[in-house]
Order: sequence, then structure tokens, then C-alpha cells
Amino acid sequence: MDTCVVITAEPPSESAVVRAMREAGWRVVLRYPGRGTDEIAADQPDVVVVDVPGHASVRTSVDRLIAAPGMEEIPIIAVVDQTAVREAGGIRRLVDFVLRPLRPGELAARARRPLAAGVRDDEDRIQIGGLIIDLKGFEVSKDGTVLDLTYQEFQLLKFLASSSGQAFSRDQLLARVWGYDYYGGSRTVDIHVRRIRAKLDQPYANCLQTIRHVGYKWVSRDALTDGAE
Amino acid sequence: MSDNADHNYIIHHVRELGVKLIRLWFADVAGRLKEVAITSEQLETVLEEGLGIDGGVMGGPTQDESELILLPDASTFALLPPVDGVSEVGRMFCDVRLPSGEPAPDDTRAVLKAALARAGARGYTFYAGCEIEHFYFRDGSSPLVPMDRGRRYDARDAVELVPLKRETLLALEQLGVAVDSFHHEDAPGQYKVGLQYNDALSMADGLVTYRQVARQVAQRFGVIASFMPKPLTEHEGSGLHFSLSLTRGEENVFYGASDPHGLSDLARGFLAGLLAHAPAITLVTNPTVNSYKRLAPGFSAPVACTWAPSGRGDLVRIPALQAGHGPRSTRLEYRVADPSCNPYLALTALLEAGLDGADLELAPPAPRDAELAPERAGASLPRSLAEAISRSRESELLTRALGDALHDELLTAAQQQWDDYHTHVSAWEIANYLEG
Repeated sequence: MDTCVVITAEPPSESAVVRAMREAGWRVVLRYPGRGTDEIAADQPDVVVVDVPGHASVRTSVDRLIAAPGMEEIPIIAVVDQTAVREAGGIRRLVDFVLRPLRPGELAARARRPLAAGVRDDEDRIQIGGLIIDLKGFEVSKDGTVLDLTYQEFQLLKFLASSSGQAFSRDQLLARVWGYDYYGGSRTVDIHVRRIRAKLDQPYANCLQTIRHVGYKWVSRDALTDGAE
Repeated sequence: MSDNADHNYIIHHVRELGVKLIRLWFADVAGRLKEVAITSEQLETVLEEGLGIDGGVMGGPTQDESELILLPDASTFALLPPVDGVSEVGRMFCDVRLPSGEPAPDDTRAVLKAALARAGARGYTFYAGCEIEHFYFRDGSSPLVPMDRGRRYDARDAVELVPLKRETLLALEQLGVAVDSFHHEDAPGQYKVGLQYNDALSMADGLVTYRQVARQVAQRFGVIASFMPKPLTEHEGSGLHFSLSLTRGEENVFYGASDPHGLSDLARGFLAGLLAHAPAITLVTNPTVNSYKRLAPGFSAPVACTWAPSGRGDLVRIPALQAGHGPRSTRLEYRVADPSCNPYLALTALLEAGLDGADLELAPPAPRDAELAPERAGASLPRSLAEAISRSRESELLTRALGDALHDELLTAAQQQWDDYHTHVSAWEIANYLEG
């Protein structure tokens, strides 16, 4: 059974996070925010969920977790308020976050993703036909030629491609890829998507799909079925 | 991810692409592009520590500093267009710092960033699109010979301009500057280029890039790309129209469903602020002696603080919503500025002027009646650089937006420019007075 450590000040009987994770079949361990998390490695977590009020305390908790021994590789997910999405996106080392109030099944599904989807070290490249996105080596090549992507273009492509099939709103992408101290807004995402598509060219540009009234998603398989062949 | 993930990315990327040289770009107070080239071997050190340059190059309050530090903004790395098919030169925009690490007061890019950060703290993102007009003249021609005799939207290009325009557009695309449209304007040899709207910082970077690329490509064809506001006495001058909007999240907060012009209260206040502060900020949006020869009655450039939904001779126009974009495309088009301005300062001044009007809940005057000539319908804009200086001197808004030292320096530099011009005996005077 996978272990989830929940950082919360709420009693377990009242925590929606604890309930959601237990229902999904996780072994749940509770830790009180602050000093209580310094020895978190002893719980052998597969994932850590931070559920504390206010984005400042989320940041403090995450900073403390990162500093704890044995936490280098453990994915951290935060539960945040709608109004704090941008701030949450700026917190380093958060692999994901979910919004309050929790929707049934969402947290457990997201907690499963970092284990399965391979944003972690064991999988560091995504290959679609002749397109190779090297997540650790910082480069994207097409048919053997390195593409000239800017840093933000690379980050956006990497983010979308490592969550293949999942749609993100422009605000979510801004928060997660750019962070909160950026001068642009949701339009910035459109501009970068347009440039990435131009640089990927067909058939790979098809992978980066616009979802009307939602945002964007990356779909790997479509390029190969609709594309060059 | 380390704090410097963007640095690591660029260092790796430069190696993979075989980039040999990187041009570090920065703009002086007048908005002129300056650069220092470094080799890719130096890149890592320069990203971390910055690069020292001589003080005194900015033309502003730091002219007595012995050294300034250029700190590259890694997110602006782009490959410059290939020369002879080889791409081995990149560019990055830089922040300019004092040796103490503080932003230099005459780093106008930092001035805009600070204004955007203040607006950002209130939840606003400031967007700008623009249309920039300029001329193509044959190099070395005297008197000036425009490259063609076309008029507005003419399709009969001078043959030499076909590859020149193509190369310019491809170079811009590579540098991430998206061009919406490119067409012939009213005057012979005059073109208008639309740049796709973007956050204001990227737009200002894009304009500086545009001027540089247009000039360099033209030079290779023996052509001068001129951003002088009014090069030909008898023809229209060149303007720089900014389409401005504010968003909060994904919502354009300039849109108001109940207003006959589709403007929110915020947008109406912003509009009123632009009209109220226009005479004071003209020094920033139109900073040269020559700028005021464009802002003269009898041509289509604005001369007074008026607005109208479809006004071409007005200070502000409200462009129609774009098909398919609806309320999201609500914007105010500010038509006074010209391409000789520093776009970082111009956008700073426009943002602050508009927000000031919105904060004070100013109400704009009624739109100009189409029957009435603009010069009779509103307060007049400065008619000369001298008048612009005196209108700007007392502007608390500019002092607040630019900082005391920079505002002072702009006034001093403009006064010097005016004095030089004013005491120069011109060809016109010789023609009229020599034997008079």
C-alpha cells in the first residue's frame, strides 16, 4: 500500500484530505505543520499533501519539508484556495496542487500521477515519432535537430507533455510554468503556444491542442494517427 | 529545480545550438539600443555576476558613475537571424544595475517593470498592441528619395523592397516578435507595421527589436529604414499607435456591457486619465524637436485632447471589437506617440496616466462631434518641444512614474536639444531672409 503523509492542523476525523486519501486506499499518516515535519522521512511517504490555510503557510510548510532529510525525491502536493492559485504556482518543488473545496476523487487521482506519469527521475524523456523532449537534458529535438525554444517555451512544452491528456486553463499554466511574479497574463500563454506550434511544425504541432473555453492540453497519440503517415 | 533553472537552460541551449556570440542588449534613456557582445564561454559568469560597462552610457542620472552592471534577462534569449545561412549569434535584454546592485535609475526597462509590478499588485495585467509607421529611403540620397511612390495599401512595391520586407518579417518571427500586418501607408516610401498585442514589457522589447532589425536588414539592401517622426514636410509623418487594455485573470476589465461605447467605468476613467495627462506626457511619447512637426493641424495626427469611437485625428480612438474575440478585444488606441520615443517610458507614462484617471474616477468628456475640427474640440497638445518641456515640468504624475532623477534628466536633455535646435540657422531661414 502507498503511503501518503498529510500535513494538517485539523483533527483526522475532520480532515477532508485524510478522508479522500483513505477512501482511495492509501495508508495515511498525519503530521502537524512546523517542527513535526522534520522527521517525515521516518514515515516513508510516497507522496506528501500539504493542507494548511493561507498561501504563506503553504510556502513555509513546503520550505520546511524540502529541508527535511530524505525529502529530495518525494513529490509534494498542496491544497490551496482558488484565490491563491498564482502564488501556489510560484512555490518550488510543488508537483501539483488541488483547489478547495476538494472534488471527489481529484486529490487521489493527482496523488497517483507523480508516481505513474514519470515527472520523476526514472523517466526523463518523452518520444513521439521523431520528436524527443529530453526533460532533464533541457532540449527538444525533431528528427535529430535541436529546436530553438526559449526557456519559457521549453518549460511550457515540458509541463504539458508530462501531463499528457490533461487540460489546463491559461491561469493554471501561468501559475505553474511562469510563477506569480511575471508581468504577463493569460495572453502570454496563447503567444507561447503559438510559437511552440510553429517551431514543432506538423505533425507534432497537432499534439498541442486548444480546448475551447478551457485552455490547452497535450495529446501524444494524435500526432501519429492524424499526422505524417 | 534550482533557482537558476533558466540560466542552466540557456547555458545548455547555447552549447547545443553552437552559438558563438551573445549580444547583450539594453536601451539608453532615449530608447536607443546599445549592446555589448560576449563569447559563449563567458556566458555562465555573466549570467551569475553580470558584466561591468562604462558608466555614462545611459544618458541619464548615472552619467557620473564609473561603472554599471549589465545583468542579462535569460528569458529573453533568442537567436539573431542567420548571416550567410549560419546562426551563431544570440541576444538577451539586460537589466542595468548600479555597482551596489540597485537598479540604475535610468534603466528605463526597469522603470516599466516597476510600473507593471505596481499594477500587478492590484491584480492588473497591462497589455499593448501597436502600429508603428516608418519610411524607407534610398541610402545616401540628398534630398531624400523615398523607395517608392505608393500610397495607402498600394500593392506596387519597389522591387528592392520585396526581399527586404520578407527578410525583415522572417527575422522578427525568429526573434519572437509577431507581426500582424504590414502595409503601405499614405506617404511615398512609408509603411505601417502592426505588432500583435502582448504584455507591455514584451511589447516594448519587441519595438526596440523591431527598430533594430528593420534598420539592419534595410542597410544590407542599401536602404535607410527611418523612424524619424516627420521626414517629408509635405506628407504625413510617422506615428506609433498603442492599443491598450487591462485584464484581471482572463477578463478584460475595459469592457462594459451597459456603456454605448462598450467601456467599463474603469476604462472610462483610464480614458479620462489619458486625455488629462496627455499634454504633460507628450515629452515622453514624442521626445524630439521633429516630433512636433508631425503633431500639426492639416495632417491626420492628433493635435488636441479629444476622443471619438472611430476618430482618426483624435488622441484616443475606440477600435471596434474583433470578430471572434468579442469583449476580450476591448481596447483604447492612443494615437499621439511617434516611433522616435522610448517605448519603455511611453508605456510607463500611459499606464500611470490611465490608472490615475481610473483611481480619481475622472469622467471623460463627450466624444468629439464629427462636425467639429479636433483643434476646436479639446485642449491642445504641445506644439513644440519647448512647450512639451514646460507642460511636463510640473507633472507630479511623471515624477512619481519615472522617479525624480530620471524626470529631471529628461527635462534637462530635452532643453539642451531645444536650445541646440533653436540657435541653429536653418535652410528655411536662409531661403526666406537672406535677401529679404
